[in-house]
Amino acid sequence: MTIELLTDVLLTSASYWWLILLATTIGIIVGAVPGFGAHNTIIILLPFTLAVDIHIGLTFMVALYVATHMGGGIPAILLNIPGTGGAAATTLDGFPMAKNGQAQQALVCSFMASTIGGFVTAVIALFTLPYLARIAYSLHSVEMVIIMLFGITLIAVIAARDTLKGLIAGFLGLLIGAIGTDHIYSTPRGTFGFLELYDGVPIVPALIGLFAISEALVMLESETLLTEAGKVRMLKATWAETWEGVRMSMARLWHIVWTGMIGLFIGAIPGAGASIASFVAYQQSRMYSKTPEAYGKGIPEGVIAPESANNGVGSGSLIPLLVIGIPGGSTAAVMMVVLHYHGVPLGQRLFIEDPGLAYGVFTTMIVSYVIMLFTILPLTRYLSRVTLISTMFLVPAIVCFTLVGAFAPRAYLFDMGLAMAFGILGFIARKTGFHVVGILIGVILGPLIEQYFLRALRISDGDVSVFFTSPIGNVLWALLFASLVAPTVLGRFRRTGTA
Amino acid sequence: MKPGDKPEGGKVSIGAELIIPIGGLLFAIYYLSSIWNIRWEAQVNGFFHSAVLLTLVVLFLIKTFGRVARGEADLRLGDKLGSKALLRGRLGLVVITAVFVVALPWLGFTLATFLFLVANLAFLGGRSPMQLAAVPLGLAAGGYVLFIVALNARFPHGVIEHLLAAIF
Repeated sequence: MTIELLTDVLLTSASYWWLILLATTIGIIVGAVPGFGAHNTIIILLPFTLAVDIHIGLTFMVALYVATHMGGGIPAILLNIPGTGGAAATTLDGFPMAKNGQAQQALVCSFMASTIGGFVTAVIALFTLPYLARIAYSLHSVEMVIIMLFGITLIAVIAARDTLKGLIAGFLGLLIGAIGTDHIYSTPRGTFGFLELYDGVPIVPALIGLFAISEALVMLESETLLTEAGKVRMLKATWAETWEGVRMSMARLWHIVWTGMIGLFIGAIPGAGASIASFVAYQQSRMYSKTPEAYGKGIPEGVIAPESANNGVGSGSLIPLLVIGIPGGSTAAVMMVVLHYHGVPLGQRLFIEDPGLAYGVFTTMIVSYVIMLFTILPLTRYLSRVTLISTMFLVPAIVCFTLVGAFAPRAYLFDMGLAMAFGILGFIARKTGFHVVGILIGVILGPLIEQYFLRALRISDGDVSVFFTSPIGNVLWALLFASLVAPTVLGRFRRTGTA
Repeated sequence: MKPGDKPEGGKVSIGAELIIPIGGLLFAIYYLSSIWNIRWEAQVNGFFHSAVLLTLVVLFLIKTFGRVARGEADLRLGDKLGSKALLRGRLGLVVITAVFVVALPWLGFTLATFLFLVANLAFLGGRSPMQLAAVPLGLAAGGYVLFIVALNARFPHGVIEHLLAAIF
């Protein structure tokens, strides 16, 4: 890539500022509404992206995509309801900060981490495209299975106070995710006779039930979301809190960068996605922290790490699409459909025939992040006021609007009932210490893990030792085991040190 | 320690903590029964997850019954899930929501949303006509603009949607 080309694509992206402003506004709104992720919004807007020039269409899709990553953190912080699966880890410290009257600071940390993390990773992706794409070549079915099990283990260790309860939640989620017909013979499994479950458990009703409905049921216990001290703090909040959030973020600049890099690397692995990346970043952040015990109680690093990683995934997941023609996630898959429709070649030919389009994806991201920061930062003071609303109004509004979100993707009333069922499951899980995040990530990863699991077994003629034959896989097994025992060992080490 | 967790005798009531593991156990058994006589490719993933889940649940049950045997806990539900009054409130919310889900195709999104919000606000203690009318009206109108007009989502259309479509 030459300087002339870089300047040219950057200026072209900047010239579409009006389109990026429109797309990011839509993206932040739909990202904040559970059930309306980037991929189904792009599907809804397909008539537009298919009709316009591909440069305009791609700019619109990319800007919308990165904005949904940022938008997903807003309800995660304010209401303990992640707008997307990738924002699930943000609830762990974002919501406690909001309850303590620091919603404004938490939102600013989230926006700053998203912007800086996304910006830096987009720049890195721009210059390291061919090298990062090799990650996708090095990881096969065996490694993917272990990565996903690693993700579940990390969540069990991080999200639940009792690792055994966390693992039960994760594997229950995986088994729920295994509901549906199998990929080869279409035999129904565990569907309870419901035709609507033959395609598997839809993720949106699961997300809405486990987080939104269950949280609404918990909210009935108090008049507001805030603690008494938090309420006093929120009522006195001014613009100073926004600046405090900016200072908090700038003081953790390196933290934003390295957790964003985790997102970039994991995002470059097709299928891994933001859900795993944000938890890995959160776990790494906690592991290297001097105050790991403060995590989960409302610490800025607990918001910054998952949000930065979440946005790093945005850059990473488009790399395999552009370089090897394999979509890194569901949104990238929808983008691929649009690119195919316009006759855009993927892989090496794209970089030879239309390098401006390929690199333009990342320059659009850079411009989008700059625009988003200036448009959303002034709104944090007003957004944070949501926490002052009485639960008498919040509960019905959350239940109503999230349930219709469950209905939207497939237009089945069944999905609303399913969201209610997940809501009751989530409520019991919350109240008894089985963290809902583990169940949700299990449901998300369930169908993916089956694909890779089966592929690995078919290649090895059903020999399960294949999962212990790959060097990368064995390193991942060691990391998985270490993540299970590390908290206990580190805890004892710290207790010995302080004694 | 949450209120009610520790009843007389100093024992912690942990019966509620068994709901998810026992539910998981039953689901795993049901899942295994549904894949028992099918091809191995369709079975293997379910076998793996079920086996791990069953092992984890058995470990959890051993741990739990160990606490009960040592006299540290009992198997009563306690009020971990909330007091009876709170449970009644939650049940009411679930019933109103179920009615909303059933009525949605007939009433359409906007009217069903309005009625659902009015019913819930009244149930949760809203008394002033301003609260009972203006808030649901505003939210239903906002929902109509965002979901039906802006996002063109496939929500059921009823009398309000048809009326507004005819006017505009």
